[in-house]
Amino acid sequence: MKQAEKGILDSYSLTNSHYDEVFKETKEPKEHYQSIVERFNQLSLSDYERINNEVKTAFFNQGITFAVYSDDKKPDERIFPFDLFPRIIPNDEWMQLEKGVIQRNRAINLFLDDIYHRKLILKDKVVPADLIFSSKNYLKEMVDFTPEGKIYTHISGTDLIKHTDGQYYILEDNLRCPSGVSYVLSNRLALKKSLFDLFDKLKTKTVYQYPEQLLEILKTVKPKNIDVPTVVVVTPGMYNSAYFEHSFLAQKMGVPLVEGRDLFVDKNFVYMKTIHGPIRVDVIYRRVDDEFIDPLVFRKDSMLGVPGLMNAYRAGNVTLANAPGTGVADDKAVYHYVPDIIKYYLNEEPILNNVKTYHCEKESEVNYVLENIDKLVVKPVDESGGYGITIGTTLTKEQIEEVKVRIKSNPRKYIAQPIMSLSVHATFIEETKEFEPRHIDLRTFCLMGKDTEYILKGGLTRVALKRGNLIVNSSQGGGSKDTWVLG
Amino acid sequence: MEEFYIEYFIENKYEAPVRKANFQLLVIPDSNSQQVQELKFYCSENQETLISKNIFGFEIINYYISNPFTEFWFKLSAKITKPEINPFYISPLLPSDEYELIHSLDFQIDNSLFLRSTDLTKMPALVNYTFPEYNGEIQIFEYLLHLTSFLYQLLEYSPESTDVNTPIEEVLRIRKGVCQDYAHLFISICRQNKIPARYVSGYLNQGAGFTGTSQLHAWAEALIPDLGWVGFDATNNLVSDHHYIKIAHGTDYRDCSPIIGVLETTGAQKSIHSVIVTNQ
Repeated sequence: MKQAEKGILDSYSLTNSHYDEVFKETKEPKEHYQSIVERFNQLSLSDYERINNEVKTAFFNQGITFAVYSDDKKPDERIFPFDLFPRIIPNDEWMQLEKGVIQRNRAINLFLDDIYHRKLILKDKVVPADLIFSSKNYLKEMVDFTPEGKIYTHISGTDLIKHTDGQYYILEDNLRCPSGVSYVLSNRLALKKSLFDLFDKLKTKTVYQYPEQLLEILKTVKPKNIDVPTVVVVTPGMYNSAYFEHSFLAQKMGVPLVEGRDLFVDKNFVYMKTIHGPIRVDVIYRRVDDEFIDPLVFRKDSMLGVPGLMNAYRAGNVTLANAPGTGVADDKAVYHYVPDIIKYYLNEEPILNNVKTYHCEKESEVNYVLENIDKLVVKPVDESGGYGITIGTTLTKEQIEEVKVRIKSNPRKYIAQPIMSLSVHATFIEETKEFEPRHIDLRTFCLMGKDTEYILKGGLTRVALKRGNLIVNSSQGGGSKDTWVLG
Repeated sequence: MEEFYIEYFIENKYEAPVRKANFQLLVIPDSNSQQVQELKFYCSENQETLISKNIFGFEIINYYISNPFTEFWFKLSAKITKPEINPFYISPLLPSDEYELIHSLDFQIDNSLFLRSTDLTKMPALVNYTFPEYNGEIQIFEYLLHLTSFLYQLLEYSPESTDVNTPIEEVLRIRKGVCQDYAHLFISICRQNKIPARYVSGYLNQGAGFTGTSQLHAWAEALIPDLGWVGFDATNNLVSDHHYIKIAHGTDYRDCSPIIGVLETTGAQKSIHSVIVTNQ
């Protein structure tokens, strides 16, 4: 390969307002990025584009696409845009993050067990009881029921960002069968072919055990009196936007991928229809939302569920992962209490930061909020979907006054948070054929079984491809990067 | 001891064959509220049955039918006994103590399921009536008697004026309803006043001249500290006694539907059911 005269990363320009993951202020690469920057700088633009195209082809060949729907057209099959430049996390930084994610998910699992049984955290007024009981995700069907091994959140996806101060902050918890792990594995597969020597040199941690670990975790929560459990993945069907992931995971685990209509419940046991007759099913990794899993109990019009499933579950004859009713804990309003939840159950200080939250009901905090509305995001605690949120930097003087009046009239209803800024990472932009800084976040994947935990070393780094865009979702023009945790 | 004989019958006819069906029946008299001496039930499909418990611990009869049918019937007969009840209660607590107790956080948390609003017990934001308010000046039992007769007078009993999914808003608009509407409204007002309340389905001995038609009846139970759960029937302006044969309770009608089915079929269905209670 011919040495390029000018490195493809040389034209990269720093932004001064955001934390740059790759480069120091001097524009030298940070230590853990040195090898990759060196490597990329050896490539000419055409070399880079060639590799880029190879990787894209690999994605198409693996069938890794997602469907974008519009009213008048057929669904548009697209590949999830993938950026060749991996996000790299040094080992010590990762270890801290891993500990923090596990700590958080352990505490959340204990919290779920508590609020569905003794409710001590509510009686001790650490979390307001109203907040839990007014949530539609708090399911009466789960009250006083103990899932196998006391595990509720077998699979959780914790989203993190790095703020301008270089610290990780939890953005949200996803406790309802989060998606994205199939991209992590496919990204790695695609990238490893092109950069295998660097992987070895940097002792990058592997991500390939995930499906195997997932299957192990699911087996630890098998119903009692079952030696070798039958595990299945239940998908809403091929029109679901995450269908690729459902089939990918089922295939990698070597278990059947089924839809609700392939299962039936007879005398409180769940069976799968097969050409050899019915086979009993013991553990279900369900990618169907709570309200659709059993039309006898939840939505009667659901065609995706299995009538009688909840009864079989409550009789202890089948395990559902995740447990129904976990959504009560990943609510926006509960988020603010997670640090207190960690202290309450584990008697430990939270390792990872929550975004600082000011509760306007507290007199000590409301004054700060009223004086700094221009620097804060103000959110009503009981609204979802972004309704009623004001972002300080976008407000006129009059609007700021209006917000003040609203807060003063009902302080209990509002919380405020500093405006968080996502770190940026050098990303190849096809239009300009240059690397430019783009915002990123990180979704981690944590598995919890009976007496066992596993965290995927790495995760899904999502990147907002539009300049200045803070939204990293795939449907909003976001892409992803491979995430390397160093050895 | 009073002895009652109960017969419950339901028949569903389908226009097109049903390929597959799950039925859950919640019609067995509750064995905690009375003694079930004899219990027999059968259905048209000659199915093996499974009795399981629902989330509140009441017995459900489950059928899974996987061969095509166009007609499904189910019949239950039971003999129960229960002691005569004189439904007059006096709490040993002072009104102010009762008031303090039901406003304590622990009490509210322990009874949260019966204090939460549900779709069917949701009070509309704007109401044209002033409902009796519980303020701790009188005992809860006395307040609930007052509420019972208030609702009895407010609504006109009118069969088929509403169905099982009619929200309170509509009931208040037409001021007509059947037993589940009285029960839902009673429950809703109790919960607004922080008194835990639950929906009850059951059989009513009609020999005594109560309104309830020849179907299942519905009433409500409210939790009074130191007395426990007491049944109130606003449809008949009564406190429930031994003529009220409870099947189950829940947060609202949806926890107590006598029959729920999920079917694979294309056409419409016709349903008839009957209830006979006799006292000997």
